[in-house]
Amino acid sequence: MFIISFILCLLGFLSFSLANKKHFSVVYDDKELTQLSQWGFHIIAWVLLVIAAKITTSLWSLEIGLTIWVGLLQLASVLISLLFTYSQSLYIFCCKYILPTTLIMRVASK
Amino acid sequence: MKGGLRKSMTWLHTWSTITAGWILFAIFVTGTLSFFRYEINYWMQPELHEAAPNPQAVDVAYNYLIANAPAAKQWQIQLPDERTRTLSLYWDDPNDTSRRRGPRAQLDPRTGKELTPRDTAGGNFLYRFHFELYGMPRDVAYWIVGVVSMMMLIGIISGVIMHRKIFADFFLFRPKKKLVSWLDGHAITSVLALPFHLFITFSGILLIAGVLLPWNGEGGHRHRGERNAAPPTKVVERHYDATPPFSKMMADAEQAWGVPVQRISIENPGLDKLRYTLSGPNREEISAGRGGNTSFVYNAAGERIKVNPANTADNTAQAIYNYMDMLHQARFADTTTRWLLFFAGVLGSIMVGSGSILWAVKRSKQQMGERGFEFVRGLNIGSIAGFMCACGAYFWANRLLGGQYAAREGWEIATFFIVWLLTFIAGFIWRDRYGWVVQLSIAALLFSLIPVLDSFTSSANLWHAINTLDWPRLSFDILALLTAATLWFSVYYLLKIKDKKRKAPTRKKPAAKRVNKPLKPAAGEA
Repeated sequence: MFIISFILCLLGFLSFSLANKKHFSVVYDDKELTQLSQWGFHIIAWVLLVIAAKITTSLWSLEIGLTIWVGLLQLASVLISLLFTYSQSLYIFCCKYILPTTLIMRVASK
Repeated sequence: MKGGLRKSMTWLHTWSTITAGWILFAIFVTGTLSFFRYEINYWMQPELHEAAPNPQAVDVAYNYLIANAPAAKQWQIQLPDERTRTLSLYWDDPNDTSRRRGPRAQLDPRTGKELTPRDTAGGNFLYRFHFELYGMPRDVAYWIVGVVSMMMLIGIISGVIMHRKIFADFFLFRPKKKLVSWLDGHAITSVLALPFHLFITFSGILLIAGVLLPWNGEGGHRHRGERNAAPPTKVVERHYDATPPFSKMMADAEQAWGVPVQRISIENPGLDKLRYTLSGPNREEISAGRGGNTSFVYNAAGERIKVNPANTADNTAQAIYNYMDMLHQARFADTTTRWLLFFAGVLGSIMVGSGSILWAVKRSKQQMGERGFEFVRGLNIGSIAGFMCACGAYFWANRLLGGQYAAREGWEIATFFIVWLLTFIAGFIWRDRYGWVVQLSIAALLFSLIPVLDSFTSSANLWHAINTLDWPRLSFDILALLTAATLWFSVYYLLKIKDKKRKAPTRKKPAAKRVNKPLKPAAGEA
């Protein structure tokens, strides 16, 4: 469960990073980041992070669980930064095929 | 406020942190290492490495106490756990009425053999250094650490305000771009671990606030309470015929808590009014403070007769203080949390170090050769690369000074400071990239070879540690290898800049990644 929580944090920050114009353009260089899709990425990210928080607080107590959750967020955000910097192909793969980005883009374009 | 808020904050950020940066780096690194203080202590006492876990450890401890402290009024057994491999026993000496603490012994849980570890400054020196420094009155050290911590807090807050694109640059690191890379590295380690930096700095100030606020009603010091000398104990006859119901009690406690029992306190051993108190890492709240664990009391038959509930904070202010205290010192932390805190500490150290380097890189073109600037360059090398050399040398000194060497503790610390002093001198002489490369390489080499040193100078070689899953020892070796990898990466990076400068001084290479602009030729030094 702890690993799942960490993976959710990673995916959450992956989604957050896509709400950033520079990162979005690396994944979709032919598309523009609309405000609606930006909101979509933010919502997805927050949902994933809240689920991760729920898991850590259920594994530990509320106070300890939230402290560990913040630690996981820091680790996950650094890993996403490194992934983007040093392995963009994997970053693009994760964004396109693990996150529901296509769905968000479709909803946002409508 | 000239030039607007952001400009003022930039000025404040630069000057509040550059003046404190050199000592802050040492505080951050030693503080980060202190998250593994017990593991470092254990590693630095290789005589303990032959100890191995044993499910019957409590019986081994009990037999030892019957044989060696039959007249004591109280025994305490600290069982091996994920951070310690030995059995630690404490008891009160009925003939000694003056001592603050009674005798203690460390045993191999498997054989019951008493272990006599070497005297070492150990991880405790690093831990104390990060808030008391060394060789100066404690109050003076608290003031220095308190002031630089406040400057750090100012630096963090002003840094957030001055960062124009804090969200746009959130995940952005642009390597191979000299100044921009340093800026990104500094920003990314600061912003991504911002919650940690804020809490560790603020809680650090809070923990020594008693000294910083001298008219606080306690004269600037915490009262730790004094123990009166114990009255002489009457000699009474004790019987140790009955077998203690340890397995029954431990099973009961472990079932209730879901974690293993860590400590067993035995009051009035050998008497009818015998009581066992079992406690473990069953903390539910961080804000409860140091007494936040529930413990169970059992009678001689192993029946639970009382539950000592966990402490709770009296009020919100106390709860906040407890939270800060516990979190800063990681008193509640299991292995996972400890590694997460360590990781955040590493980011903090990189943040401080990269900030100091960034200051010099930014001004290298305009101020190269000026006395003040050259002084900062020299200080940067000694306080960052040199400090890592000193830490590495400290661990080597522990193992290379013979097992029974009486003055070891003093020489370990002396080695640390002598090496640090030498690196400062070398840093002032060779202030260029070579100075960095040489000192970082020495530090990297020292840390890389720590597992080898460990294997050859311990009572049990590294293979034994792997075989018996000696995690406290292996954690330290892994920690050393991770540190070495970071240092080697820095060396590689510095050498790469040099090579690029030599091979293609003006040619611009195309960017490897879409987001990166073409690389600039490297000029000057990192």
